[in-house]
Amino acid sequence: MKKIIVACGGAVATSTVAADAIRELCAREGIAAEVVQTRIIEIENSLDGVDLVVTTMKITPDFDVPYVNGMPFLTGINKEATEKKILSYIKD
Amino acid sequence: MERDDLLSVNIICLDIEAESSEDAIKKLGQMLVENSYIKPSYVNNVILREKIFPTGLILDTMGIAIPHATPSDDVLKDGIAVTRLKKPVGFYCMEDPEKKIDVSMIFMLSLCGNNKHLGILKKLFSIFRNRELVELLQDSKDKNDFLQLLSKNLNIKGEI
Repeated sequence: MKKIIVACGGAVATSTVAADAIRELCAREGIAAEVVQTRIIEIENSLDGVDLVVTTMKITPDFDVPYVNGMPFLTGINKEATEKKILSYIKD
Repeated sequence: MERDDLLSVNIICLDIEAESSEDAIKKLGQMLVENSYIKPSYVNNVILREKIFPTGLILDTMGIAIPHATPSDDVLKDGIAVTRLKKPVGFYCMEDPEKKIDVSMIFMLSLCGNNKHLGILKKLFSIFRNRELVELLQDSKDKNDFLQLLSKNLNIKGEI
């Protein structure tokens, strides 16, 4: 089981859009994944056992877990490239 | 909530001029206040939130923004106020709050509850991801056309 954190700056709104898209992606690819939503400021405290962090706001990651910008799930621009990148981190 | 109220010609204004993002938000806010969607205090909350968590988005063909504040008792009923600007104004980017982008369409959200917020946001984003649809909105000739296009596409079930 892979664990993915999806975070946005404000509340949970934009991360929900991205999290749904990632859940779908995982289902489509047959990857068992737990997708957890959080706020960007809370990422640091939620990194236990996490395989990938996705955010809908640009951040400079200061953690060791792989990181992907999830904005393309909101705007549609570069969505495929983003999906590939995500899969490269969570596909065994 | 009355479904019909979520979108209405009363809260759409096309091809107006605004001096800045704040000016545009105030104009949208005024429509929402006049039509009893929000209390005036909501407008200030939106302006404040925009400074901390900006809502500008770069789409394929244009920049848009979805200014909103955390739902509280100053939202009286659900609504999406929309404006299309004659000349774009600068909004800071949701993805990168230090980056300013030109925004030509603004969707100001007045939504009472968080759950509803999410459903509507998801549908809105599905519209934004649809390049053709965004162009149609940009080209629609009047409020009624604009409204029809938007309401038809906001009601699609199962679309993400």
